[in-house]
Amino acid sequence: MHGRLKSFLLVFLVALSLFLTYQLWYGRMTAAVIDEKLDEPVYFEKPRPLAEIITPQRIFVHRKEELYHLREGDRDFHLVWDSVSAAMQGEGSGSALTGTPPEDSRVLLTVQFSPVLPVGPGTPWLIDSRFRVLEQIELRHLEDKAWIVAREPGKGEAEAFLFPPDQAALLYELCNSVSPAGRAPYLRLSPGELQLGPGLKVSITEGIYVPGVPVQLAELALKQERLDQELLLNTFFVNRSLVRVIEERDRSLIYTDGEKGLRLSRGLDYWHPQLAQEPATLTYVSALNTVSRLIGYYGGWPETLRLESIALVKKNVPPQEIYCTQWRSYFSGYPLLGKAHATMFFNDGGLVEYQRNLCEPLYFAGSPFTTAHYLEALQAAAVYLHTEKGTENLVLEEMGLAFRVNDSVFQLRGVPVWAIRLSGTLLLLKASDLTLLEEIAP
Amino acid sequence: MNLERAKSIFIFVFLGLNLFLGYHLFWSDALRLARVAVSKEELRRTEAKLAGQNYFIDAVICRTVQTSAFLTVSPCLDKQAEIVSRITGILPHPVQLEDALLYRGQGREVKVYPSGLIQIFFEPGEYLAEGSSGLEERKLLLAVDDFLLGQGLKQAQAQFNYVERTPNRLTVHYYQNYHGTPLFAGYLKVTVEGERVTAIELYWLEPLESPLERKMEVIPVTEALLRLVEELGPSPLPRRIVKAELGFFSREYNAEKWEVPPVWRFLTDDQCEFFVNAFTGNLEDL
Repeated sequence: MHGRLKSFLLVFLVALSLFLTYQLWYGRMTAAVIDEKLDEPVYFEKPRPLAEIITPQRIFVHRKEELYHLREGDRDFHLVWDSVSAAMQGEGSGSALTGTPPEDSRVLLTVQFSPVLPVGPGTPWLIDSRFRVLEQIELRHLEDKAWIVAREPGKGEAEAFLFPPDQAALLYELCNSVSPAGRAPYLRLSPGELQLGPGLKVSITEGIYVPGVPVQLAELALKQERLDQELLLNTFFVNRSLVRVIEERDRSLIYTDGEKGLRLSRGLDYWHPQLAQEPATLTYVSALNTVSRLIGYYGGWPETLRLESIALVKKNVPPQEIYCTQWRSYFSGYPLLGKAHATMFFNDGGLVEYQRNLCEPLYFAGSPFTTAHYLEALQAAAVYLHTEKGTENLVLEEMGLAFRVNDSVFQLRGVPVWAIRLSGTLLLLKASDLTLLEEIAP
Repeated sequence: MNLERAKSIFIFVFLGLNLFLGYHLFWSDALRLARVAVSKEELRRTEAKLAGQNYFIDAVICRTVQTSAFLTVSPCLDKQAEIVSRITGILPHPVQLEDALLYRGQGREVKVYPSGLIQIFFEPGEYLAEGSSGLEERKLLLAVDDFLLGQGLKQAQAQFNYVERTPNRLTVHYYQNYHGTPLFAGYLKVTVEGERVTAIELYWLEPLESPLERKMEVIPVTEALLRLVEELGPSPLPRRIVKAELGFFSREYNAEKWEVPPVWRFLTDDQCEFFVNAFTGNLEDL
């Protein structure tokens, strides 16, 4: 009996020692292993270099008497911009001239920037420029020479750069390679008053371009962006064990550690109010690099997404300066309007607010149709504001074709619209029959 | 050497081996159990710092290491209809207010909020006891207890919190008790004016998951006190901290369910409650 008890005890002790050895060996990570895990990079994408952060708002290709319009997402947009951008970078980025190009030189391209393009020392572009930022550049050509005429915002001062013959030939070839087939020529609306009907006139502001003839468009199939939630949580919260979850009635989830919060539903909303009172002292170039880092880390920067604006604004109580940046998706040269955008507020302290609800454009769905003429669209918008809202002194500030993202969760579509900003109010009219889809007050 | 002797030797060898392995695996945890989070010296230092800001500790301070976890809760909506019909006599057709449903009965009104909060108003008030506002606390609590029982509003999990007195009224505060730990987010308030109960506010929660999972060590009570005073700043008048307890608290959410963090709750002698997150040390908003 005594012997059996000893045997049993021995077997138990052997088994226990094996179990404890296993626990010691595999069950607990050493500090070094934990440290390694903590050091793993937690972000979606690496930041983009400065040369890839800013893209032009639009590019006009001048072909004889016609003007062709290229925007983000257009098949030729990146081809043209990459070449022009490369020509403006590095040692061979043209030599600054004291005079202007000859009068008889021909304009090949006009490139407009919003947000403005940083140039000069510390940037990749036109390092010899006396300007710090540009609003527009013109590419001019005569015989074997090419010039870039750079223009500052506001004051409109210009500076010219001459390119060597080989680069001039390349740029000339590039402009000629843009095919006008399938493109509507654009018109520049002359600033001044436009009579749209009896007692209905609209003041046209500077810089409004519209397609001169109706365009063929179709509805756009879209897919809601789905981000890796685990990675997203790890990017926002360093210590996940302190994060608590709130499940809302619409099944949205709020994660918070008491200082900052992240709401995940169709898109994401993030806020860190404690940082709101930090100063915003970054230079324009530093702010651009910061937004690139922030969007890269917190969700990534898809190919179709363009940085639309970056500005210092007053926010919060008491008012405090803070950077506000907005992104928008583009497809085939047209922006996606409606509930599909990313907005970020940040300062020297970091990210203060962030909303992101993006759609991935897939393909044209449904049969193409001819959009209403720009004059019909403008008239419909003006009649609506004048008769329905009683708005007097209508001023046309912005006009163009776009896609409006519908609110349907099941069949996300981009409907072609005329987006017209009249006296501060943005109207989205269905491009097919000019039905009012949305009105966004100033 | 016989087999029995060999067995004995092996038993001692393996016993020694197991002790060695167990020491490496569990010693740090065993030490933590015996550890104090707040030494006497640290408590004295904290008291001195607080006194410098005009705050004085007049509460029992828990000095041992405490652990806790998030507690998942959802609003307790099951009893709403029952409470409304019990208070108003029948279940009348509600009036839709901007943020709540209003049920009217004879001299009684019940407001039901989507978050689960229930407010009951008695007009001109339900008789409680003679000289209610002047009653000593024990007798007052007994009277309120009887009243709640009579109205069918007595909650088994309700635990007396404190009495708030103003010149014209007094409010008896209860909190929800969850397995012996205060769940301050759930509460019951009874307002007494003169000899009558004029209002009752009930916000009760349904704990869903046991907080045993994800248990972590919480910050010491002294650290929470210092964080609180750092946030509040110096007090113009001497202020005494009369209660310091570990519990759970979050503000009200109109949500399906949420996780409530552990907090250090401090009650001052002027009946102000403050909640400091016991994991992060942040002041939780009321």
